[in-house]
Amino acid sequence: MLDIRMDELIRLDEGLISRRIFFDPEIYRAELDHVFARCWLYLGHESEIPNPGDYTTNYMGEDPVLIWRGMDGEIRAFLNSCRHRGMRVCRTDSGNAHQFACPFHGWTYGNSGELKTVPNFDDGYFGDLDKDSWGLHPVSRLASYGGFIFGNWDAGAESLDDYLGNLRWYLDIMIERSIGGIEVIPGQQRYSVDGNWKIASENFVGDSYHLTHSHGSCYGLPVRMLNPANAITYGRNKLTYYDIALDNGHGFTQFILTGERIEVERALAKEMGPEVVEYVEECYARLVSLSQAQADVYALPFGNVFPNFSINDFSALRPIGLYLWTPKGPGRIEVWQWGATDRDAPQAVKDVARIDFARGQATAGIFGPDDTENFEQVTQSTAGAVGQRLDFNYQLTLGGKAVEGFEDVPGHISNYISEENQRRFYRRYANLMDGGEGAHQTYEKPRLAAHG
Amino acid sequence: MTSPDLQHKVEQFLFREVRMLAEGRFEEWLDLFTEDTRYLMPIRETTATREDSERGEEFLPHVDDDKDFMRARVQRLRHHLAHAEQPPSRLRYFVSNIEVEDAEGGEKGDLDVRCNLLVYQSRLERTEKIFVGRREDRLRPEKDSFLIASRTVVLDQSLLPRSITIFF
Ligand code: FES
Ligand SMILES: [Fe+2]
Repeated sequence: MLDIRMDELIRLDEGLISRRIFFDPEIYRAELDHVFARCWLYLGHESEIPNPGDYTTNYMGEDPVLIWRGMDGEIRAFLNSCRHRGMRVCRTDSGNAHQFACPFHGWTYGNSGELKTVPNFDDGYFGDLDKDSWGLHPVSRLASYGGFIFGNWDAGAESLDDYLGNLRWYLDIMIERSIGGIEVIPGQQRYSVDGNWKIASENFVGDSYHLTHSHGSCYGLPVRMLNPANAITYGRNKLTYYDIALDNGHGFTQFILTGERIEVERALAKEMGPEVVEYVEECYARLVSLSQAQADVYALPFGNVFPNFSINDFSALRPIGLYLWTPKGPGRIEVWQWGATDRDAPQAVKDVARIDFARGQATAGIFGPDDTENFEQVTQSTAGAVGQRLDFNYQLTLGGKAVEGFEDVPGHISNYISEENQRRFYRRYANLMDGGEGAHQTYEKPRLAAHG
Repeated sequence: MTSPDLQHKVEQFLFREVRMLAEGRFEEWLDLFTEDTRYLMPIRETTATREDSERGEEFLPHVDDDKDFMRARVQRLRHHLAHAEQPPSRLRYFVSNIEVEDAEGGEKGDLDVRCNLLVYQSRLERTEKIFVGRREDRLRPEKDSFLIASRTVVLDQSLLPRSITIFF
């Protein structure tokens, strides 16, 4: 057992976090247990597997999982590993199958995860193997919110609704604004980053501070696919933004709370034609019927669902971006990312969605690579003996007051350009790692907890 | 059959082109493309069949650019804040297996050219990444050289070794 207390490495009252948490392999191993085996993790979207037998694959921490729609229409998720000797059962990324025969010795699983046939069942196992107890190992908890499928390895975890908490109010904006429901564009971009997953997550949870400098090469470009509400097409500093920290370490940034988002949207829609103008009004009306406060917010811009699922959603006329920062060791991330649109969006919107996504916060986009350069070099700075003794500075707006006057808007509202969301992300992280609040008793063998 | 002369001319064109990229002469490189060019890089996935692994139009691409966006990329790379390529990566391009044939469709004299591509990227102290794939170009004769009327870059990796900060 490791004798490390996260509340010693993460001292949020002072706005200090030890660089060690981004590099130490033992801390990383503990994260897989305390964070990734306990939190609700994003697995995929229901629209990716619409038909019986459809499957897709993903990782929960370092565990490969298979997300499979059964013949009964039910979605289930399993550890993607044969119960006999562990061979990977499904080795394709996505597809449709009514069963998988394990390539090693041929144990065969049906798409409810049941073990159907075992070679040499009669003469080798003497007909005695209890097939019912050797089906694919299920993900303990599985739940969807607005079509977004999450899994949790902790059977005693709080419900997904409770876990998302007041983030649901915001997700409802994105989900409800989509008239025909959110539909993920087929295919996903995947690439590696030689960096620590937390650096990517915290970048999305609230780091609007980096935009001007890290992405300064983009804002003057003559391209109009970019966020209509930011400097590129709307003129700098015309709008007032806010950061909002939410329950359980979730957070989003660049909110407009005073209703101008729809004005920006209307202006953009006009350029795209009457059908799009009508569409935007319908989206807006749907939100108004939810609540005027949600209609005023209109879009999330960008943020992170704890621990490692980031979203951007700037406009109904642009693709929603979904980003998963899957850890592969303390110094490596595999980034999987998807674009999504409203199933009933006008063709003019759908036609540009895949290209818009690819050109922005994407593998070869104009935003993504400058971020990953940061993630890599920041992580490398945590490797040295001296580097590890130093702290990172999270003091931006430390001691600042919460913004008041938006009673209908949930969460802790900060003035734009703050590190409050990041501090709350790490508070949640430290709690989980130390076995404190939010860490469930059903979990066995906490490696770092010095108490409890 | 392609004449040895034509084969030679195409090869020299491709070699000179990748040298522009290795040397960071992006503006010159842009001039090699027609105004209505299309530059595509599909994603790859592991699927049951070979054909499906190369994802087409209805899928999210890595790159789907017109000339205007290619220009914007080059303009961005020249900005002092484009730090993912500043300082610049050291790049080495290997082009091989060049096949030339008369294009089906297109304009008179158009050629369809396929080649294999291996790109080595060395960055800062110890970042080393390799991208491998093939290219399919539509070349259009222009004076005594060619213009690229369309390019499809099909990398073999389904998980790219790094985000893409370079041209292929
Ligand atoms: S490992 Fe799957 S059948 Fe043996
Ligand atoms: Fe960024």
